[in-house]
Amino acid sequence: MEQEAASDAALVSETLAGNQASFQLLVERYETRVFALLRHYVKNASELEDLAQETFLKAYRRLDGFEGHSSFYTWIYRIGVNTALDHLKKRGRSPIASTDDPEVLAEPTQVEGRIAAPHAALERAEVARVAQAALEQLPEIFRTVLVLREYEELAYQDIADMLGISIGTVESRLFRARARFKQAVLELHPEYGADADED
Amino acid sequence: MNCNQATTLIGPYLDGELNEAQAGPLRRHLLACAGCRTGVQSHKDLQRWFVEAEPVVVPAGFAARVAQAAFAGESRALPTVPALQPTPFVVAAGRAEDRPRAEGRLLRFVLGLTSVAAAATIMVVLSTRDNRLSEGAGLRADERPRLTMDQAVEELEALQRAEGAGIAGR
Ligand SMILES: [Zn+2]
Repeated sequence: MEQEAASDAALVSETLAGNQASFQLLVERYETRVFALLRHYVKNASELEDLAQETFLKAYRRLDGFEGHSSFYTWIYRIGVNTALDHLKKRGRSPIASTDDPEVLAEPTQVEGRIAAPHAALERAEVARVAQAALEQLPEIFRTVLVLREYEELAYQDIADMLGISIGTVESRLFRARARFKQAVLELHPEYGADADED
Repeated sequence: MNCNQATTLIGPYLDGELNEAQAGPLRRHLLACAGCRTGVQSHKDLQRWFVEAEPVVVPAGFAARVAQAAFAGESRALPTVPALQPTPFVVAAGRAEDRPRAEGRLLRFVLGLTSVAAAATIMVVLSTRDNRLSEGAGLRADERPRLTMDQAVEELEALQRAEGAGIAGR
Protein backbone atom coordinates (compact mmCIF):
# COMPACT_ATOMS: atom_id res chain seq x y z
CA MET A 1 0.00 0.00 0.00
CA GLU A 2 2.81 2.40 0.82
CA GLN A 3 4.41 1.76 -2.52
CA GLU A 4 1.14 2.16 -4.31
CA ALA A 5 0.56 5.59 -2.89
CA ALA A 6 2.97 7.36 -5.20
CA SER A 7 1.73 5.41 -8.11
CA ASP A 8 -1.89 6.21 -7.28
CA ALA A 9 -0.99 9.86 -7.08
CA ALA A 10 0.68 9.63 -10.47
CA LEU A 11 -2.40 8.01 -11.97
CA VAL A 12 -4.56 10.70 -10.46
CA SER A 13 -2.37 13.42 -11.98
CA GLU A 14 -2.41 11.74 -15.36
CA THR A 15 -6.17 11.35 -15.20
CA LEU A 16 -6.57 15.01 -14.37
CA ALA A 17 -4.34 15.77 -17.33
CA GLY A 18 -6.84 13.96 -19.52
CA ASN A 19 -5.46 10.45 -19.73
CA GLN A 20 -8.38 8.04 -19.84
CA ALA A 21 -6.14 4.97 -19.69
CA SER A 22 -4.70 6.14 -16.39
CA PHE A 23 -8.14 6.43 -14.89
CA GLN A 24 -8.95 2.96 -16.17
CA LEU A 25 -5.85 1.64 -14.39
CA LEU A 26 -6.96 3.32 -11.21
CA VAL A 27 -10.39 1.71 -11.50
CA GLU A 28 -8.82 -1.68 -12.19
CA ARG A 29 -6.69 -1.35 -9.12
CA TYR A 30 -9.60 -0.74 -6.78
CA GLU A 31 -12.62 -2.30 -8.46
CA THR A 32 -12.46 -5.57 -6.53
CA ARG A 33 -12.32 -3.82 -3.18
CA VAL A 34 -15.12 -1.48 -4.11
CA PHE A 35 -17.33 -4.34 -5.29
CA ALA A 36 -16.56 -6.26 -2.09
CA LEU A 37 -17.54 -3.27 -0.02
CA LEU A 38 -20.73 -2.49 -1.89
CA ARG A 39 -22.09 -5.99 -1.91
CA HIS A 40 -22.70 -5.64 1.79
CA TYR A 41 -25.31 -3.08 0.87
CA VAL A 42 -26.91 -4.46 -2.29
CA LYS A 43 -27.35 -8.02 -3.47
CA ASN A 44 -28.52 -7.76 -7.04
CA ALA A 45 -25.61 -8.02 -9.49
CA SER A 46 -26.67 -5.23 -11.83
CA GLU A 47 -27.50 -2.98 -8.91
CA LEU A 48 -24.06 -3.71 -7.53
CA GLU A 49 -22.40 -2.82 -10.79
CA ASP A 50 -24.40 0.39 -11.05
CA LEU A 51 -23.35 1.40 -7.56
CA ALA A 52 -19.72 0.59 -8.23
CA GLN A 53 -19.84 2.60 -11.43
CA GLU A 54 -21.48 5.48 -9.65
CA THR A 55 -18.76 5.35 -7.01
CA PHE A 56 -15.97 5.60 -9.54
CA LEU A 57 -17.71 8.30 -11.53
CA LYS A 58 -18.17 10.38 -8.41
CA ALA A 59 -14.51 9.85 -7.67
CA TYR A 60 -13.64 10.98 -11.17
CA ARG A 61 -15.65 14.15 -10.79
CA ARG A 62 -14.00 14.94 -7.47
CA LEU A 63 -10.55 13.82 -8.42
CA ASP A 64 -9.11 17.29 -8.24
CA GLY A 65 -10.10 17.26 -4.57
CA PHE A 66 -7.95 14.23 -3.91
CA GLU A 67 -4.63 15.57 -2.80
CA GLY A 68 -2.86 12.39 -1.91
CA HIS A 69 -2.66 13.09 1.80
CA SER A 70 -4.90 10.15 2.51
CA SER A 71 -4.56 6.88 0.69
CA PHE A 72 -6.63 6.58 -2.43
CA TYR A 73 -8.43 3.50 -1.19
CA THR A 74 -9.57 5.31 1.95
CA TRP A 75 -10.88 8.05 -0.26
CA ILE A 76 -12.64 5.76 -2.73
CA TYR A 77 -14.11 3.64 0.09
CA ARG A 78 -15.53 6.71 1.63
CA ILE A 79 -17.22 7.65 -1.62
CA GLY A 80 -18.42 4.05 -1.93
CA VAL A 81 -19.98 4.01 1.53
CA ASN A 82 -21.72 7.31 0.91
CA THR A 83 -22.95 6.11 -2.45
CA ALA A 84 -24.36 2.95 -0.89
CA LEU A 85 -26.09 4.82 1.93
CA ASP A 86 -27.52 7.30 -0.51
CA HIS A 87 -28.80 4.45 -2.64
CA LEU A 88 -30.48 2.75 0.30
CA LYS A 89 -32.10 5.98 1.28
CA LYS A 90 -33.50 6.49 -2.20
CA ARG A 91 -34.90 3.00 -2.08
CA GLY A 92 -36.68 3.80 1.12
CA ARG A 93 -34.75 1.33 3.19
CA SER A 94 -34.54 2.95 6.59
CA PRO A 95 -30.84 3.39 6.43
CA ILE A 96 -29.49 5.95 8.76
CA ALA A 97 -30.10 6.29 12.39
CA SER A 98 -30.00 9.92 13.29
CA THR A 99 -27.71 11.18 15.98
CA ASP A 100 -30.53 11.43 18.47
CA ASP A 101 -32.18 8.17 17.59
CA PRO A 102 -32.92 6.42 20.87
CA GLU A 103 -31.86 3.18 19.29
CA VAL A 104 -28.43 4.59 18.56
CA LEU A 105 -28.07 6.36 21.86
CA ALA A 106 -29.09 3.40 23.95
CA GLU A 107 -26.51 2.29 26.45
CA PRO A 108 -24.35 -0.45 25.01
CA THR A 109 -25.80 -3.14 27.13
CA GLN A 110 -24.33 -6.56 27.30
CA VAL A 111 -26.61 -8.79 25.33
CA GLU A 112 -27.91 -11.73 27.24
CA GLY A 113 -26.50 -14.96 25.97
CA ARG A 114 -23.72 -15.66 23.56
CA ILE A 115 -23.64 -16.84 20.04
CA ALA A 116 -21.52 -19.83 19.33
CA ALA A 117 -18.96 -19.84 16.57
CA PRO A 118 -20.52 -21.19 13.39
CA HIS A 119 -20.65 -24.95 13.58
CA ALA A 120 -18.10 -26.71 11.42
CA ALA A 121 -20.85 -28.46 9.53
CA LEU A 122 -22.44 -25.20 8.51
CA GLU A 123 -21.74 -24.29 4.90
CA ARG A 124 -19.67 -21.18 4.40
CA ALA A 125 -22.42 -19.70 2.26
CA GLU A 126 -24.93 -20.27 5.05
CA VAL A 127 -22.69 -18.59 7.61
CA ALA A 128 -22.32 -15.62 5.28
CA ARG A 129 -26.06 -15.52 4.69
CA VAL A 130 -26.88 -15.52 8.40
CA ALA A 131 -24.35 -12.75 9.05
CA GLN A 132 -25.64 -10.67 6.17
CA ALA A 133 -29.23 -11.05 7.36
CA ALA A 134 -28.18 -9.92 10.84
CA LEU A 135 -26.24 -6.97 9.44
CA GLU A 136 -29.29 -5.84 7.54
CA GLN A 137 -31.14 -5.51 10.84
CA LEU A 138 -28.70 -2.93 12.12
CA PRO A 139 -28.85 0.85 11.78
CA GLU A 140 -26.48 1.76 8.97
CA ILE A 141 -23.89 3.45 11.13
CA PHE A 142 -23.41 0.14 12.90
CA ARG A 143 -23.52 -1.96 9.77
CA THR A 144 -20.92 0.26 8.17
CA VAL A 145 -18.33 0.00 10.95
CA LEU A 146 -18.77 -3.77 11.06
CA VAL A 147 -18.34 -4.08 7.31
CA LEU A 148 -15.26 -1.90 7.32
CA ARG A 149 -13.69 -3.70 10.27
CA GLU A 150 -14.78 -7.32 10.00
CA TYR A 151 -14.88 -7.82 6.25
CA GLU A 152 -12.54 -5.16 4.93
CA GLU A 153 -10.28 -5.46 7.98
CA LEU A 154 -9.47 -1.80 8.05
CA ALA A 155 -7.55 -0.28 10.94
CA TYR A 156 -9.53 1.94 13.27
CA GLN A 157 -7.61 4.95 12.02
CA ASP A 158 -8.66 4.24 8.45
CA ILE A 159 -12.27 3.81 9.47
CA ALA A 160 -12.09 7.05 11.42
CA ASP A 161 -10.64 8.89 8.43
CA MET A 162 -13.16 7.40 6.10
CA LEU A 163 -16.19 8.25 8.16
CA GLY A 164 -14.88 11.52 9.50
CA ILE A 165 -15.15 10.40 13.12
CA SER A 166 -12.63 9.99 15.92
CA ILE A 167 -10.98 6.71 16.79
CA GLY A 168 -12.82 6.78 20.11
CA THR A 169 -16.09 6.96 18.23
CA VAL A 170 -15.02 4.07 16.00
CA GLU A 171 -14.37 2.02 19.13
CA SER A 172 -17.62 2.79 20.84
CA ARG A 173 -19.58 2.34 17.64
CA LEU A 174 -17.94 -1.03 17.00
CA PHE A 175 -18.66 -2.09 20.56
CA ARG A 176 -22.33 -1.31 20.13
CA ALA A 177 -22.44 -2.73 16.64
CA ARG A 178 -21.07 -6.07 17.79
CA ALA A 179 -23.59 -6.26 20.60
CA ARG A 180 -26.37 -5.47 18.13
CA PHE A 181 -25.09 -7.99 15.67
CA LYS A 182 -25.06 -10.70 18.31
CA GLN A 183 -28.55 -9.77 19.36
CA ALA A 184 -29.76 -9.85 15.76
CA VAL A 185 -28.27 -13.30 15.13
CA LEU A 186 -29.88 -14.64 18.29
CA GLU A 187 -33.24 -13.16 17.37
CA LEU A 188 -33.11 -14.52 13.84
CA HIS A 189 -31.52 -17.83 14.82
CA PRO A 190 -31.90 -18.75 18.48
CA GLU A 191 -30.41 -22.11 17.59
CA TYR A 192 -26.99 -20.50 17.22
CA GLY A 193 -26.88 -19.39 20.81
CA ALA A 194 -24.06 -20.82 22.87
CA ASP A 195 -25.03 -23.07 25.71
CA ALA A 196 -24.60 -21.38 29.04
CA ASP A 197 -22.32 -24.10 30.33
CA GLU A 198 -20.26 -24.29 27.16
CA ASP A 199 -16.66 -23.34 27.70
CA MET B 1 -8.55 -2.59 35.63
CA ASN B 2 -12.08 -3.69 36.32
CA CYS B 3 -14.34 -5.91 34.26
CA ASN B 4 -16.20 -3.03 32.64
CA GLN B 5 -12.98 -1.49 31.41
CA ALA B 6 -11.71 -4.86 30.26
CA THR B 7 -14.93 -5.53 28.38
CA THR B 8 -14.60 -2.39 26.28
CA LEU B 9 -10.96 -3.17 25.51
CA ILE B 10 -11.40 -6.74 24.36
CA GLY B 11 -12.53 -5.73 20.87
CA PRO B 12 -9.68 -3.28 20.25
CA TYR B 13 -7.27 -5.79 21.77
CA LEU B 14 -8.28 -8.59 19.41
CA ASP B 15 -8.31 -6.13 16.54
CA GLY B 16 -4.66 -5.36 17.26
CA GLU B 17 -5.46 -1.76 18.10
CA LEU B 18 -3.93 -1.55 21.57
CA ASN B 19 -0.36 -0.60 22.23
CA GLU B 20 1.60 -2.55 24.78
CA ALA B 21 0.94 -0.06 27.56
CA GLN B 22 -2.77 -0.66 27.06
CA ALA B 23 -2.65 -4.37 26.34
CA GLY B 24 -0.48 -5.26 29.36
CA PRO B 25 -3.03 -4.37 32.04
CA LEU B 26 -5.74 -6.08 30.03
CA ARG B 27 -3.74 -9.29 29.82
CA ARG B 28 -3.13 -9.22 33.55
CA HIS B 29 -6.84 -8.78 34.13
CA LEU B 30 -7.64 -11.65 31.78
CA LEU B 31 -5.24 -13.92 33.63
CA ALA B 32 -7.09 -13.24 36.82
CA CYS B 33 -10.66 -13.10 35.54
CA ALA B 34 -12.40 -16.12 34.08
CA GLY B 35 -15.47 -14.06 33.22
CA CYS B 36 -13.55 -11.75 30.92
CA ARG B 37 -11.67 -14.67 29.38
CA THR B 38 -15.08 -16.00 28.40
CA GLY B 39 -15.71 -12.58 26.93
CA VAL B 40 -12.63 -12.96 24.75
CA GLN B 41 -13.77 -16.34 23.53
CA SER B 42 -17.23 -14.98 22.89
CA HIS B 43 -15.75 -12.19 20.82
CA LYS B 44 -13.71 -14.65 18.76
CA ASP B 45 -16.78 -16.79 18.21
CA LEU B 46 -18.66 -13.75 17.02
CA GLN B 47 -15.95 -12.80 14.57
CA ARG B 48 -16.08 -16.18 12.90
CA TRP B 49 -19.47 -15.28 11.48
CA PHE B 50 -18.00 -12.59 9.28
CA VAL B 51 -17.04 -14.58 6.24
CA GLU B 52 -17.46 -13.67 2.62
CA ALA B 53 -19.78 -15.98 0.78
CA GLU B 54 -17.71 -16.17 -2.34
CA PRO B 55 -14.95 -14.25 -4.08
CA VAL B 56 -15.88 -10.99 -5.67
CA VAL B 57 -16.38 -11.18 -9.41
CA VAL B 58 -16.02 -7.90 -11.22
CA PRO B 59 -17.74 -8.01 -14.61
CA ALA B 60 -15.33 -8.14 -17.53
CA GLY B 61 -14.56 -4.76 -19.01
CA PHE B 62 -15.92 -2.86 -16.05
CA ALA B 63 -12.98 -0.50 -15.68
CA ALA B 64 -12.88 0.26 -19.38
CA ARG B 65 -16.58 1.07 -19.41
CA VAL B 66 -16.31 3.30 -16.37
CA ALA B 67 -13.31 5.16 -17.74
CA GLN B 68 -15.04 5.65 -21.03
CA ALA B 69 -18.19 6.90 -19.35
CA ALA B 70 -16.17 9.27 -17.20
CA PHE B 71 -14.39 10.81 -20.15
CA ALA B 72 -17.51 10.87 -22.30
CA GLY B 73 -19.25 13.13 -19.83
CA GLU B 74 -20.85 10.33 -17.86
CA SER B 75 -24.17 10.69 -19.55
CA ARG B 76 -24.84 7.37 -21.18
CA ALA B 77 -27.20 4.96 -19.46
CA LEU B 78 -25.77 5.79 -16.09
CA PRO B 79 -27.68 6.24 -12.94
CA THR B 80 -28.01 9.93 -12.45
CA VAL B 81 -26.29 11.16 -9.37
CA PRO B 82 -28.18 13.93 -7.67
CA ALA B 83 -26.41 16.81 -6.09
CA LEU B 84 -25.49 16.39 -2.48
CA GLN B 85 -28.48 17.88 -0.84
CA PRO B 86 -30.82 16.80 1.90
CA THR B 87 -34.03 15.30 0.66
CA PRO B 88 -37.08 14.41 2.69
CA PHE B 89 -36.44 11.11 4.27
CA VAL B 90 -38.59 8.19 3.35
CA VAL B 91 -39.37 6.15 6.38
CA ALA B 92 -39.48 2.49 5.58
CA ALA B 93 -41.87 0.03 7.08
CA GLY B 94 -40.83 -1.84 10.14
CA ARG B 95 -38.31 -0.74 12.68
CA ALA B 96 -38.25 2.84 11.52
CA GLU B 97 -41.76 3.83 12.47
CA ASP B 98 -40.82 5.14 15.86
CA ARG B 99 -37.95 7.15 14.51
CA PRO B 100 -39.22 10.63 13.92
CA ARG B 101 -38.13 13.61 11.86
CA ALA B 102 -34.42 13.50 12.40
CA GLU B 103 -33.90 10.49 10.19
CA GLY B 104 -31.29 11.28 7.64
CA ARG B 105 -29.48 13.92 9.59
CA LEU B 106 -26.45 11.75 9.85
CA LEU B 107 -26.63 10.98 6.18
CA ARG B 108 -26.67 14.67 5.42
CA PHE B 109 -23.72 14.95 7.73
CA VAL B 110 -21.88 12.23 5.87
CA LEU B 111 -22.77 13.75 2.54
CA GLY B 112 -21.68 17.11 3.80
CA LEU B 113 -18.36 15.63 4.61
CA THR B 114 -18.17 14.10 1.20
CA SER B 115 -18.57 17.43 -0.45
CA VAL B 116 -15.28 18.39 1.08
CA ALA B 117 -14.06 14.85 1.14
CA ALA B 118 -10.36 15.26 0.76
CA ALA B 119 -10.09 18.28 3.01
CA ALA B 120 -12.13 16.69 5.75
CA THR B 121 -10.20 13.47 5.57
CA ILE B 122 -6.92 15.26 5.88
CA MET B 123 -8.08 17.21 8.87
CA VAL B 124 -9.28 14.15 10.70
CA VAL B 125 -6.04 12.34 10.00
CA LEU B 126 -4.41 14.78 12.35
CA SER B 127 -5.76 13.05 15.40
CA THR B 128 -3.08 10.60 16.34
CA ARG B 129 -3.26 7.04 17.42
CA ASP B 130 -1.46 7.88 20.64
CA ASN B 131 -4.34 10.04 21.70
CA ARG B 132 -6.81 7.36 20.97
CA LEU B 133 -7.75 6.51 24.52
CA SER B 134 -7.77 9.99 25.85
CA GLU B 135 -11.10 11.50 26.54
CA GLY B 136 -12.53 14.02 24.17
CA ALA B 137 -10.82 12.48 21.20
CA GLY B 138 -13.04 14.45 18.85
CA LEU B 139 -12.12 17.10 16.38
CA ARG B 140 -10.32 19.93 18.01
CA ALA B 141 -11.18 23.43 16.97
CA ASP B 142 -7.94 23.91 15.10
CA GLU B 143 -8.58 20.78 13.06
CA ARG B 144 -11.91 21.98 11.87
CA PRO B 145 -12.25 22.26 8.18
CA ARG B 146 -13.80 25.55 7.24
CA LEU B 147 -17.14 26.63 5.92
CA THR B 148 -19.42 23.79 5.01
CA MET B 149 -17.98 21.66 7.76
CA ASP B 150 -19.66 23.69 10.45
CA GLN B 151 -22.93 21.88 10.42
CA ALA B 152 -21.20 18.57 10.00
CA VAL B 153 -19.02 19.18 13.01
CA GLU B 154 -22.04 20.10 15.05
CA GLU B 155 -23.64 16.79 14.19
CA LEU B 156 -20.44 14.96 14.84
CA GLU B 157 -19.98 16.48 18.24
CA ALA B 158 -23.52 15.64 19.23
CA LEU B 159 -22.93 12.05 18.25
CA GLN B 160 -19.62 11.89 20.03
CA ARG B 161 -21.07 13.31 23.21
CA ALA B 162 -23.79 10.73 23.05
CA GLU B 163 -21.45 7.89 22.30
CA GLY B 164 -18.79 9.07 24.70
CA ALA B 165 -21.34 8.94 27.47
CA GLY B 166 -22.05 5.35 26.57
CA ILE B 167 -18.70 3.91 27.50
CA ALA B 168 -17.83 4.49 31.08
CA GLY B 169 -14.41 4.80 32.56
CA ARG B 170 -12.63 5.76 29.38
ZN1 LIG C 1 -13.10 -9.30 34.36
